Parts: sequence; C-alpha cells; structure tokens
Amino acid sequence: MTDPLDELLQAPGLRVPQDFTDKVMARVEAVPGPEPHTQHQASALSVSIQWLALLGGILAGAVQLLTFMFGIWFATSAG
Amino acid sequence: MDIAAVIELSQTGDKAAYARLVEHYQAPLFAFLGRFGVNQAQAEEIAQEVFVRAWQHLDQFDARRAAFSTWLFTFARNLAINELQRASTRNESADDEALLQARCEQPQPLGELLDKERQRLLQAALRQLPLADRSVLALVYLSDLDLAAIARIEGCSVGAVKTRLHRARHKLRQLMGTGND
Repeated sequence: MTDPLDELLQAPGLRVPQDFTDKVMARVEAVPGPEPHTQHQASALSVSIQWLALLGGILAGAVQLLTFMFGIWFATSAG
Repeated sequence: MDIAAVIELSQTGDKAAYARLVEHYQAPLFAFLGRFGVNQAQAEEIAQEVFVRAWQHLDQFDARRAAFSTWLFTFARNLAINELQRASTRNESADDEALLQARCEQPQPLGELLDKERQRLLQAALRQLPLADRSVLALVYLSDLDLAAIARIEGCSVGAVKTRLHRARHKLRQLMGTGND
C-alpha cells in the first residue's frame, strides 16, 4: 500500500507553464553562453604561469641568500 | 534521448540542445520547487534563473565529478533558499492560498477539490518546516538523485540527510495528521 504522504509529495503541486522553455530560451539568448575549451585552456595556462613565477621567485631568493652568506663568509675570513 | 550527448552538445553552445535539456528537467524542477513550499510565481522565477545560470556556467560542469542533475539541483536549492529567505524578510504571505481559495469558488469535481485541498494543506505544512529539512525532503523524491548526491548538494553526510528526512517527514505527518512514521 502506498503511503499517502509519499503520494502527496510525489504529486506535481505546481504546473510548468506551457511557454516556459520559450521564456528560458529568450533569456538565454540575452546572456553569454558557455565557452568550453578556451576557458579551460586559459585557466590551465594561467596556473602554469603562476607556478613558473613562484619557482622563479624561490630561485632568485635562494641565489640572493647564498650571495649574502658568501659575502659574510668572505668578509670575515679575509680579516 | 541521450542526456549525456545533449549536455555535451549544449556545452559547445548549441542552444537547440539546451532547449531540450530545459524540456527534460523542467518538470522535476517544478516538482522540487513545489515540495520546497514556494508558490507558482516564485517557482517560475526561480526555475528560469536556474536554467539561465546553468547555461552561463555550463562550461564549468564536469560529468566526471558529478551528475548533471546534482549540479543543476544545487543551483535550484541555493536559489530557492535565497528566495524564501528574502521573502520571509519582506514578510510575504503565501499568496497561492488566496489563489486556491478563489479557484475553489468555481464549480469543480469533488475529487479535484479534495486534491487541491490536500495540496493546500501540504504547502501550509511544508512552510512550517525549517529550510534545511524542507530542502532534503524536496530533493529526496527526485528519481535522479540518490542519498549520496543529496548529501553532496546539501554539503553534509548521508547520515545527516537521513536524520533531516526522518525529522521532516515526522513533522509533516504531525502537521497534516496523516498517521505515524
């Protein structure tokens, strides 16, 4: 036997207007649509660039630190 | 209709394919919104917004990560909650009740009148449930979604979904006087 509450909840309480699809598509016409591949490629490219920039920054920082340490060592050992 | 193919076509910007998607999902979406306790006018507004936003973000949909229905009903759930919260701050009343009352004044078959009365009672009872419980209840009757998908939409565990569902059904039965859970 079907539960009356289930039956009631499954019944369509609201009706879909006959022109609903037309109304949606009229609004869809007015907005920009999906751009499948270009956007993904662009985001992949920007992520790669971000990683390269980060690695470059780390490398430059490491070189600067080593130069500084070498300078200290050189100055102290020269005396 | 192969929905996966229609979705793929829509993702390329094919509007005719997207119109088929709208046709396919509009009935479950309105049924979902009806169980959410929104009125006809609010449902039309929300449903349109759901499909327009889905179209705008269709390139972000990844079929490997989630089913299309899960993705679509996440939009619907969030928009419905926003609308109901906005409506409650504006202190809007359930205008459908007045509409149903007006319809009841016209001569109608008894069965139809009883169905409408039951729906009116259901809507009134649904509006008394907390939004989180209502949301789970509205989602669980969609054939496309299992409990795991609902948990994903709700952002909680499957156990929490079951708890909310049990609570919502129990409360509804109490409010409508339709027997024990």
